[in-house]
Amino acid sequence: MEVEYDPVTGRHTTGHEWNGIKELDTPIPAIVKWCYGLTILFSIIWWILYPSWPYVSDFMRGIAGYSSRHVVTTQLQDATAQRAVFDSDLLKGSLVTLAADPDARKKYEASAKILYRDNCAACHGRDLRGQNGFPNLTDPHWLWSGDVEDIATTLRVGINSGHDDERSAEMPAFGRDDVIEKADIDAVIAYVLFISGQNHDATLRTKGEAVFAENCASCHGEKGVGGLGAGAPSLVDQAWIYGKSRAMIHQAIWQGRKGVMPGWTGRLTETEIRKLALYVTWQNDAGNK
Amino acid sequence: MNLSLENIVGFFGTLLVAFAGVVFVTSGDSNGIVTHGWMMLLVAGFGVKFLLESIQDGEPEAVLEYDDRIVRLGILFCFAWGIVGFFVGDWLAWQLAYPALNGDMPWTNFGRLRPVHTTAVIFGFGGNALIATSFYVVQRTCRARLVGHTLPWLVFGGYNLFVLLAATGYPLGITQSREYAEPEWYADLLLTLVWVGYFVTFMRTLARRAEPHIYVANWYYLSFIVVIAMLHIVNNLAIPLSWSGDKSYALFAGVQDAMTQWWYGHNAVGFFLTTGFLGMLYYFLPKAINRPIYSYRMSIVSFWGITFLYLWAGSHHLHYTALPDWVQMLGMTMSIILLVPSWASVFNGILTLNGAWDKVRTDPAVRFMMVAILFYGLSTFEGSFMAIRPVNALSHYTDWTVGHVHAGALGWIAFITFGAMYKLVPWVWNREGIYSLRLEAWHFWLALSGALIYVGAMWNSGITQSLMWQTYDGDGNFLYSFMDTVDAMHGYYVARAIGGLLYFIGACIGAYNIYMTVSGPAMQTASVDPAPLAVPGE
Amino acid sequence: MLEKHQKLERNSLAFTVMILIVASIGGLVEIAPLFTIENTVEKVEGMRPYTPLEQVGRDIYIREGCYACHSQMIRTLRSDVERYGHFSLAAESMYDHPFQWGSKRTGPDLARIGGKYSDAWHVAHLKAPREVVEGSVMPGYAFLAETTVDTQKLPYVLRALSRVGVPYTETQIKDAARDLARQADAEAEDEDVLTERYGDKVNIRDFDGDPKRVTEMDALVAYLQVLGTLVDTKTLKSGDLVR
Ligand code: HEC
Ligand code: HEC
Ligand code: HEC
Ligand code: HEM
Ligand code: HEM
Ligand SMILES: [Ca+2]
Ligand SMILES: [Ca+2]
Ligand SMILES: [Cu+2]
Repeated sequence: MEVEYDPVTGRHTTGHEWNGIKELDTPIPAIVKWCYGLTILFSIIWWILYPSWPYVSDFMRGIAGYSSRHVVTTQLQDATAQRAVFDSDLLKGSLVTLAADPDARKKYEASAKILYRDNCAACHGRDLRGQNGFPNLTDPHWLWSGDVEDIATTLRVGINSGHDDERSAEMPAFGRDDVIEKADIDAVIAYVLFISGQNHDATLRTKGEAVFAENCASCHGEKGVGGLGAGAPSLVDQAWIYGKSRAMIHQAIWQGRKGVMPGWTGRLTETEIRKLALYVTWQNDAGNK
Repeated sequence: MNLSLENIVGFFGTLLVAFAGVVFVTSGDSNGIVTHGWMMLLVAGFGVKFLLESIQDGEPEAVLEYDDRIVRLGILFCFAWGIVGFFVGDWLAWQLAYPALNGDMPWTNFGRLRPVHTTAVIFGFGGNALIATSFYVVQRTCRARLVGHTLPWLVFGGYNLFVLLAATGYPLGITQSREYAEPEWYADLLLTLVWVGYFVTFMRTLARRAEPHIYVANWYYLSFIVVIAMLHIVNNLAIPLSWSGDKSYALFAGVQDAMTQWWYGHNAVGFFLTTGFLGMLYYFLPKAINRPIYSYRMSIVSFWGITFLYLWAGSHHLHYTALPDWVQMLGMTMSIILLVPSWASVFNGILTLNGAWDKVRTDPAVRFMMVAILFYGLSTFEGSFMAIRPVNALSHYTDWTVGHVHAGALGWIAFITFGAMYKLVPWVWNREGIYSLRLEAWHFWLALSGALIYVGAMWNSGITQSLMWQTYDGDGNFLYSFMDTVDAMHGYYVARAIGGLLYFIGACIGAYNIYMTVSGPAMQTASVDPAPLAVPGE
Repeated sequence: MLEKHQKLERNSLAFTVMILIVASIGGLVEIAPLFTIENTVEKVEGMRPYTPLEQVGRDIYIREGCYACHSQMIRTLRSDVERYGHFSLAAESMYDHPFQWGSKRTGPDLARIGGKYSDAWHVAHLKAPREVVEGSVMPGYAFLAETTVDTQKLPYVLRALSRVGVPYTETQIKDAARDLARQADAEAEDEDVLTERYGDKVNIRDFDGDPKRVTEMDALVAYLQVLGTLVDTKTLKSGDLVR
């Protein structure tokens, strides 16, 4: 228990030693005390200003009246107001006019793209070209309609979305539900392969044509050209939702199809929906060129 | 025959584990828990065998020697788990850069592997380093032999069984998915048992000390043991589905659960990854450079500051969430004050180096420790900064947090461990010195560059991502979509994975160096850390 | 002061007790009032316990560690709300044992993912995320579609949850396995049993495209589809939420 002098620091040791380890009796540097003091002072001021200490069933509210929920609500209102100025054209003009207006496109396309990327690209792809089960939006083949107002409607209510006014379209499960016989299914597949310009069994095709006229034409149109605006696709073009292979066609007829496109009312604002409808239209025009 | 209380209690605990193992093996609800049952049976079997032998051996003679057997084992396990943990960490890093490396199999996907990494490094690597060094340090600074003939072994075995159950559980789908507390109820219970044993062993050794005063390093080890016990028990309160199932539901829900979890989570950082390792620093640094601690008074101020303040800071993990504002504000302010005792420790460490700076140049182990202190200073400064709400609005949910974590983990935790190990290994195996100083230096430079690349990449990616999330054009519209931010991460993820690889290679070199040291020739003379043991009656 | 500390340094038990006291204050002050201050969990309409199928899905979410990449907590920040929807309420996770707010957003927040996409999309995405979303770094979970849900443990699941405070009724617990089957079956005749027990926001249909089986994919998608849909945020008045 001997206090020693340490020449390097000019301090004395405390006199304790643990397996050769000693400690210097250096006083606490003023800066440490100051920093403690200042940070504590800062905290006290903070506690007075902002919500801080709890009681049993309530807490100190702080004199600044701060609430993060209140703050963000205000910020959101301001942001909405700011965007309302920017977006004002969207709600005023008709979408058809806007769609044809190059200035509108210049103005809105960039922000519409981000909206599209965050909400739609997961299904329709970054480039709007769709993927298995999710239609291509850049080609001229529409299930419902390529009219920009109709697209906006599709976005609002969705397809088979469960929305009250949903666009509803279902390909029945002809095979599974025993609506038509197996032989007829093979025949109608041959017919569909035929009208879509693919290799097929020519002997079955004529029988298939009759089956088609009886069972399918009501939705897919005479000779499967579609265009009835009821959600059933044309079967003669090269735009397939699920694929043109025999297996896919068989699957469609056997177990039916009921693609779901969510409705966006509620999740997106009306302005955003209109912006997106324009975006799809613009990209569609681009895709067709 | 030696039927001491210790052996009886040990028997009881081990049989309990064995019994649970039997239940799981015979009636476990899932493959996972049956596997775990076998592991428990196997390890408990070893335990029983060991206990039987020790009972037959009869009362041990009063050994007038330090007991470093567990220290040696702990060092080996520390490196083994470290290699596993770093490897999985780097694999994860490559997965984020090239997701095909997930393999899309249950047991290799990112979500299941990530906790394997955190558990292996924190509990496997860090925990074994802490157990090994605490047992070493407490003996030397108390001049007392580790108390306990069998209990310390059960603590060590039980602890590693816990880590094994934890790390193998996640790939099998056994997890609570609460960060750093992922192990399921039975592993949690096992750790509770083990921890009681650890506490008892440590306290009994302290009580036997020949020094009147308890050295600072032991304050830190003690706070690590005591506070982790409290946190672990409260945070893991849960109701199991059944006694043979691997699933339980946390007692608390939603906001209360979140706060409890981050009270635990932040203090897993505070008391597992900080105070324990500060204990290491307070012994191995002054020993390595043969200098007195700069200021005893500063030790006091920073110790109690840390012990008090850390427990308040957890809510900085929940800024702007559904946790009420008042808790967030308390967490933020306490985190700011917390910087003062943290940096007081940093200064205490750095100023202790005064008069021995030449050793930093000549001794890679000292260099490891010096850099560790700097990284500790860096990560605590960064932590307090990130705890400020507006800053956290940027950093939270991004790689910035991951960068902060690894500044602390790679730079502080692992560096202080490596530094201490390079000193400790020759001491406990009674070797002249480390096998190769050149390899040690290689390890140092690989680890340093790996850590800097890792942390640098994550700062960049984190800030890039958070700015992209929050950037608006002049009219109030987002400028980037979420996927744009994912795209932007790729380059940084590759860089991080390369940094991690360097770090991993460094650690492998370190392990080789340790292995060669251990398998090399022993010294004729006594240990370099002579540490006279107190003779009873002294 | 120093004298007193020197005394403490000589007594390991006193030192331990001191550590315990000093260290327990923070938690007590910050956690205990969360149970006693009433507006901590907002009083809102719509919250209900998860249906058995959703709960099984949640357990899969936990098992797979989705929290490693996804948060379920929309913060009170403009950019969070504008990207993901109304900020999350404490009430919305009041039945979450444990909470899954997460701490890292490698992928997007999922707190309000319910209803954003179709079931078919979720199934395709979970099976092969990088084929569905260009640039994704999410792992694939195709194996979920191959595993049938084991309903044997279900009553224990609900029982354990009710022990920790989720208000399941005795019938809900006993009938859990059948409720699960009901929900995954679009053709179920007695679906009003389910809506009676769990309210009309229950999604009743086959989720994974395989109506013959109830798979883990069914369960996980059912869980994802209910996230954030229970409380009608449009009817919330911001004044009520300020705490
Ligand atoms: C969950 C996947 C999904 C998301 C997200 C999605 N869609 Fe769709 N969308 C579909 C599917 C599926 C269809 C076709 C429905 C069918 O098969 O009958 C469709 C159809 C459409 C159509 C009608 C095409 C036509 O030929 O009439 C438009 C337009 C469209 N989507 C635009 C969008 C836009 C814009 C968004 C983003 C706001 C979006 N979609 C988001 C799945 C999605
Ligand atoms: C009740 C109306 C209806 C009838 C009748 C009907 N379909 Fe359809 N069909 C649809 C709708 C709607 C879709 C699009 C489903 C979707 O997008 O999910 C569709 C899709 C298809 C597809 C898939 C097209 C693609 O792009 O992948 C094929 C093939 C098809 N139908 C063939 C037939 C044949 C053959 C018949 C008669 C046996 C038939 N359909 C009868 C409504 C009908
Ligand atoms: C390695 C990180 C990672 C893991 C693990 C992960 N995800 Fe993802 N997740 C992502 C990324 C990145 C995206 C964005 C790209 C995409 O849509 O695939 C994403 C997107 C999603 C989305 C679409 C969100 C949206 O709004 O577009 C859902 C839903 C989802 N993940 C669910 C899950 C579930 C459920 C799990 C666990 C079974 C999981 N994820 C595991 C990274 C991950
Ligand atoms: C070779 C060295 C290492 C590599 C390559 C590595 C890599 C990683 C990766 C890729 C992640 C996941 C990040 C994410 O989710 O985005 C991670 C997380 C983590 N790692 Fe490491 N790691 C390494 C070493 C360590 C060490 C030594 C420790 C601790 C002692 C550690 C502790 C952690 C922790 C705590 C997390 C979770 C972070 C969080 O939740 O924010 N890692 N690591
Ligand atoms: C004064 C000291 C420190 C403070 C105030 C502090 C503060 C913080 C903050 C604010 C976060 C981010 C929380 C979030 O936004 O999600 C964080 C995360 C983290 N810090 Fe620190 N930190 C400190 C020191 C350290 C040290 C020394 C380590 C050692 C490894 C460390 C490890 C971690 C880990 C692992 C996380 C990630 C938690 C998670 O999200 O999984 N911290 N810390
Ligand atoms: Ca646990
Ligand atoms: Ca199914
Ligand atoms: Cu923290």
